[in-house]
Amino acid sequence: MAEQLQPLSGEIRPELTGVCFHCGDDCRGNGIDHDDRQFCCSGCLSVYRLLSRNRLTTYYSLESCPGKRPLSEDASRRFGWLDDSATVGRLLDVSLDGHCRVTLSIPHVHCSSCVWLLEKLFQMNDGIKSSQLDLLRKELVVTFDNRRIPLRGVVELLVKIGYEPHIDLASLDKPVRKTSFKSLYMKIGLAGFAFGNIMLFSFPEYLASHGLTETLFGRVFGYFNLFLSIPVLLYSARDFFISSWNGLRNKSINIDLPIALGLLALFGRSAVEVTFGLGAGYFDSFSGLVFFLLLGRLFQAKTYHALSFDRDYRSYLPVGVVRRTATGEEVVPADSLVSGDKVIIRNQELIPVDGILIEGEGCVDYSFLTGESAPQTIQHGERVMAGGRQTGGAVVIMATKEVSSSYLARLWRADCFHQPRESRVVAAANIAAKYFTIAVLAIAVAPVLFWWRVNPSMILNAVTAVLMVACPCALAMASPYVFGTAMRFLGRNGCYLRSAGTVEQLAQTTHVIFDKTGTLTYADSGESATAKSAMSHYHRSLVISLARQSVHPVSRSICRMFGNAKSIPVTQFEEIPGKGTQGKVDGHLVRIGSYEWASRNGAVAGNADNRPDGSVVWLAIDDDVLEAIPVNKGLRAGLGDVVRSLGRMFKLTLLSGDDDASRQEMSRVFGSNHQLFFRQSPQEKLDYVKNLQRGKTRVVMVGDGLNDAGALRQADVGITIVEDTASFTPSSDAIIAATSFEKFPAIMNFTQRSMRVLYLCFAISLAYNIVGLGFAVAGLLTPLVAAVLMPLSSVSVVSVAVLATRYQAVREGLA
Amino acid sequence: MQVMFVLIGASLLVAIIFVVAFIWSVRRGQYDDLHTPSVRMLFDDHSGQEKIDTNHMKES
Repeated sequence: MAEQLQPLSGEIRPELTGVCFHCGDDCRGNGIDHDDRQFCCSGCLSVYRLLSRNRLTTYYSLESCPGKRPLSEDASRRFGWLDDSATVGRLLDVSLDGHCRVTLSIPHVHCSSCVWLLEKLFQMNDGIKSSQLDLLRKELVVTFDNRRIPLRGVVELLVKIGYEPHIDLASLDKPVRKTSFKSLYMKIGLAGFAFGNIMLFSFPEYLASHGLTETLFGRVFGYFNLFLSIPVLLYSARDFFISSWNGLRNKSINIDLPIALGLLALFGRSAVEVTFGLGAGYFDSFSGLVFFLLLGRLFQAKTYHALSFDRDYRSYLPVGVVRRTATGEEVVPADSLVSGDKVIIRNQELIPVDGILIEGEGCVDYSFLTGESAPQTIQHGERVMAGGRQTGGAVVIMATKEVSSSYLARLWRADCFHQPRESRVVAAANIAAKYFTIAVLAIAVAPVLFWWRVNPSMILNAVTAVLMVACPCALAMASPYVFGTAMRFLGRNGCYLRSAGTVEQLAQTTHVIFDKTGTLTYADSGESATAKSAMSHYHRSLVISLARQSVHPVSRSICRMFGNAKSIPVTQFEEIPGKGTQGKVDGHLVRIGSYEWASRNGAVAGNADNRPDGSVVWLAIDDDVLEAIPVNKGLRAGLGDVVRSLGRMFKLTLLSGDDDASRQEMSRVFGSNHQLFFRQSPQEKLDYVKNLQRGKTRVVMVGDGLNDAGALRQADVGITIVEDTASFTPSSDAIIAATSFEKFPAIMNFTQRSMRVLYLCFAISLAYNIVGLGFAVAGLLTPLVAAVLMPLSSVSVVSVAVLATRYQAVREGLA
Repeated sequence: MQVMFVLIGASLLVAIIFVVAFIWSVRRGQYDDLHTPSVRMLFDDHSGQEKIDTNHMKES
């Protein structure tokens, strides 16, 4: 590390030749040389120049190639809406004259160089007072003087150095800041402080043969303990009382009820013993119990800050849209659009609002909305729906509705989005708690009957002893530690859960439903055609020029593959469905399509390896068949294995919004035992899940797009698959990174095994409780027995929970 | 032996000071971001950047 921190010397490191000094992209052959360093494009070079002018090149010595190629698009156009003072006001956290603060989410943030540079913004502009980055949340807090630099200036500066902030419509309505653990930390700190000191004060008591209570020391220690325990009862343990009280009011018994009873019995009896000089009390057990229980909560409360499980449709839409006015164009916030506004939408931009096409030719990709993979051609005067992505030339649409009443927003208003989620699933620990509490209360009655005849003064003693020892602390600790550990292992493997309880819900699955587009196939992010092509630059230009004219998925994947080649005008363009496409480019006849199509003019391929199954597409220029490009139809790697292993464990269903063109291929993957449905609307998907749930079926829905949003929400567990965790995902319980898709069966297996570990822990803790009850009913529960039994049960359950879950993760290959 | 009471009182006082310090640090936001400071401390130059006062954050 120390070596990396040396200031940059003049020479370049040998391992960095051939890659862009700024972003690390391969730039052999067409790089730009500057200051003895190579850059892949003028964008990267301009960032480097800007940084070196401001003496900020340490950025490059902390990590190699930390940067990101800045978007070449003109930032001034895209962020014009930041001039609107009402919009700016909605984004700022603090807005005083001369002192403004804004929190920006920056998806590219990833390394220590990012921290270094983004906290040096004040060196680049005098108006910026300070900036502070949170690396895990990817959030930058900037304070600036709005009289010297407007918010737009701050954002544009960030864009210039390659750190484009992500601002969407949802961030305008400032969401509540993500949960912080401040109060949990304070509760644990206080309980731990009390626990430690009380143990110290109780230590003489453990050793004394006849008890210290009668001596002055004993009395003083007792009062100290009482004094230290009061904040633990009133503050640290507060949540247990609140939760069990809420449970009682809803006429349900949860795990916190026996805990709250046990805590009250412990504290009450100890307080009585100390004040009346009857004994030393059980304050050590009391505070230790609260401390360990709270630690369990912290362990379970792991969250993934950079991920968002609760995005709604507004995070999908852009904030700024270009509105055409009488005098020209202006950029306005999308939610200020009213019916009748004319909106200009350029290539690859999202349509923010339902409307009618009035200019240009629309070719709208609705795959995210409907699951249909082929773009739709929209003619003049036809309707377009919000959420589609325009591909091709710019179009003008006239809004017919406002953003908040568009089709996209209506999708979001389905009933299932308004049901509270938690009520649908009762956690195993709570089911156990119900019987446990009833049993404990029954046992507590037993000593009443017994001592009534023998010695009535022992009744209170025995009843409180039962409640104290029956406090299911070990039981309550089992699930946080098992699920918390499971969640960590899953997170390490690219599967992020909304909460630890999701592990349990996953383990109960009986039926898995898949969406197709974007879930089983690659989303539109450019990995479907991955061949290394040996073609020259010129030939690539010819091919891509033709491919750009076509909207066929194969053409589009070729476009992505040769993305950086130049475009040349095409004449005599022709496309025959099922065969291919051709056109004259720069005087050459270019064909893309099947082998028959490409070789129609008698062209012969160098390697006549004619694969008939359509897994390759042939390129021909003039009379030469140049190359066969493998077109992976976009099925995810390892899909066959995933489906086979899951098929052994669960029932599977495919619900696709796409037409059934891929039915054959899909039935080959799924086999004949599983059902496949195509042309499913979002509502039909939701209804299908609902129907399944009428039986005892526990449904997992795996999807990615807005068309799955309803089903994801309705299912017992909704899982979204994402290529990039910063991109939009509909609200769900779990997010699996696309690269971890192959681990899906292992993940499901692991959750089931984790449940077995949980039941083992339940058994261990019950065994302790039964031993303790033996002492209690007999009236033998001394503070010393309680002080040994309580930590012993907690520690053994916690270590079994953590180690056994870890072992299961190793067995499933997830460690 | 009576001096024990003074010692016990003193030890409790020290412990309470630490609890108060802990609560103060949590409230100041020192536990909000546990990762970035570990990266930040390895940078060599500290050119006197004005730290963001997290107390202001609570007001907003």
